[in-house]
Amino acid sequence: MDNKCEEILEVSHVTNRYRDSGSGFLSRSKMTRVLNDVSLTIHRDEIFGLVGESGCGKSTLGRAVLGLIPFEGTIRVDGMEYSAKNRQEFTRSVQAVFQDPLSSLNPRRTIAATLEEPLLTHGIGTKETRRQKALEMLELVGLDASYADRLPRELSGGQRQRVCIGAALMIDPDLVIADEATSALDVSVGAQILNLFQEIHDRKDFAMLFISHNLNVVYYLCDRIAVMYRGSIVEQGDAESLYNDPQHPYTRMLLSAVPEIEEADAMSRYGFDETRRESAAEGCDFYHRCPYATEACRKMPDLVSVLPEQPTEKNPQAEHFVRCWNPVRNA
Amino acid sequence: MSENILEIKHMTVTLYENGGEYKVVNRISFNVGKGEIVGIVGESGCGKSMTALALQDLLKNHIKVTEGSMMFDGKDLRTISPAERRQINGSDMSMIFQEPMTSLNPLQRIGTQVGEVLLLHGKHSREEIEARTLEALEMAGLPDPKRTMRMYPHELSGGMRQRAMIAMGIIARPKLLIADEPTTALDVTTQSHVLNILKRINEQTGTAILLISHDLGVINMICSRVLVMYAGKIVEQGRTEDILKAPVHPYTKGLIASIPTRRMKGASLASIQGRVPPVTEEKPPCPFASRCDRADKVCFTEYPGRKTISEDHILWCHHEL
Repeated sequence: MDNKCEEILEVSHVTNRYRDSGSGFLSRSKMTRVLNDVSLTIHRDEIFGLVGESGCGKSTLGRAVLGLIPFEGTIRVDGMEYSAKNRQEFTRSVQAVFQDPLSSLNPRRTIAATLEEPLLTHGIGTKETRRQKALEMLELVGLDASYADRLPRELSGGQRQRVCIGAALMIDPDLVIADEATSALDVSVGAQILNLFQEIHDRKDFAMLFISHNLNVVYYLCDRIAVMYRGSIVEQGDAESLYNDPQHPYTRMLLSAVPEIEEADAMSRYGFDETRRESAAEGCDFYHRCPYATEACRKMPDLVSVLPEQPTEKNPQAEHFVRCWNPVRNA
Repeated sequence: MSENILEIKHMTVTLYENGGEYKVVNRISFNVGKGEIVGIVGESGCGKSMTALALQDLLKNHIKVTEGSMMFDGKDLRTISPAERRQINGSDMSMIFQEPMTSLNPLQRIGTQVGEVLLLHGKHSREEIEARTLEALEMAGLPDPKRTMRMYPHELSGGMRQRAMIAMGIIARPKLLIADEPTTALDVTTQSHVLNILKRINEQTGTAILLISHDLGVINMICSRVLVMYAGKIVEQGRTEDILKAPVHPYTKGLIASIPTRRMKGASLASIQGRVPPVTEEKPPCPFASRCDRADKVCFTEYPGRKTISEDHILWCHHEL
């Protein structure tokens, strides 16, 4: 690929909806929006974090990028748009690591065969070089050659996830999507996998979209973070800025929900409890849970405000976006 | 009557498989005080769930409690009759499981399932059961309990199902509630709500809680004391604050270091190398020796004795940090 562009992933105005048939026999079906006009950009070599609760659409966005589901809008990976014609080429640039390593691996296929498969699909190398590459990959992900001829069931959860990461990197993709890659693992094993991501990212050239519900994990690994709520990105910014100076009430809520070991009662840090209110017919989606909501939030549509932010070395044009009428400013 | 609702002494749980005998829980002793919230923490496969299942008499046929005593509310659970045991399970001592979907009956309405405990234990009128069910659902933090009672499990979200499970656990006003990874399948915001609810129940009803989790952060949110388990043994125990601020066992230290926190940004997480040995593996006297960077000859030849750091802080290790 000669025409390398600086933006590895460009998601612009992506909307995804499905038909909800309703609960009754005669009830009218309606369209439910899963993604609502989402736009984001991931630069080369960047680790981009996407956080939100289950059902907010973060996995759907991941699947849209992989070309697994239909959507409106455009998604370009390395300047290329997904279509039935360029599927082969497209899948060479995007690979994924999923949450449950056991269900991602073929139980009857040896580890080496799993690792060689992407090469085989894309017709790369000979039998010998493929095997050689698989063995090298095992080494890279912290396993060794003795694992090559084992089956997934003989491995522990952490080792299986290492194999999945290896399989994703076999064809040197430009973008890796890690969807809750550490959520199903024990804390200690999850830490090993996070270390591995960091290590490999330092040694290889690829950008990563890291999807998780745990802001601490995302902050630990990522350069920039986007927070998603009900299919819209409500806040986006440099990891430092977003984590240390969260502006959207929802980001604050996510932050205060992460169990901490350094503070005894992290939950009360931002004084959150479950606020229950009628949801707004139009206007802000977060209205019914937001402790700062005002009348404006109920009636007026969303807006995007941009905060000036110190540009960092890695992201010279970093900007901190908040989609909120009453962003919480630190005094 | 003693101060403790639960007193476990030298409990051993043995697994019989392929002609071998393996100790999945190895002579552990601990107490849970009345109205106290105690946590058990450790990686998967360290025996924490087995401990919980043994207390509820839910072990499969090839796994048995083979040693020790389990005093609950002044009665030894190992010596009382099965009928007495059944009376205790679900009413005086109840349990919440990790997977709310697989623990709920998909064909029964939530109200029926939650109220079933009362139907089975003691004589209650229908009106009484309904009132108590409503009260339990409300206490478990379900909005609109009247409507929820009529719903089926598939109509509820993961967090709501777990709240329904909690309602089922507390409806008989138990003296001890065992929660086995109650928030592991939930995301962080729902997790913090569920933990808040457990804490509130503890404050309002005085129910003691034994919370099992692999996440020290979760334990820290509600537990006053914590037991750290590794490969079937308790390796360190003490007040949550002491354990988190000044861990002494290398394993506890490793567990704490592997949690990503704001201060860890950019640094490599000090994860514990290797993994929990499978139960079928022969273990050295100190079970953690094979993964410990401080281990030397003593750890492979002698059992680490019990050491007292402070009044409640107890440790089993040859080389404390």
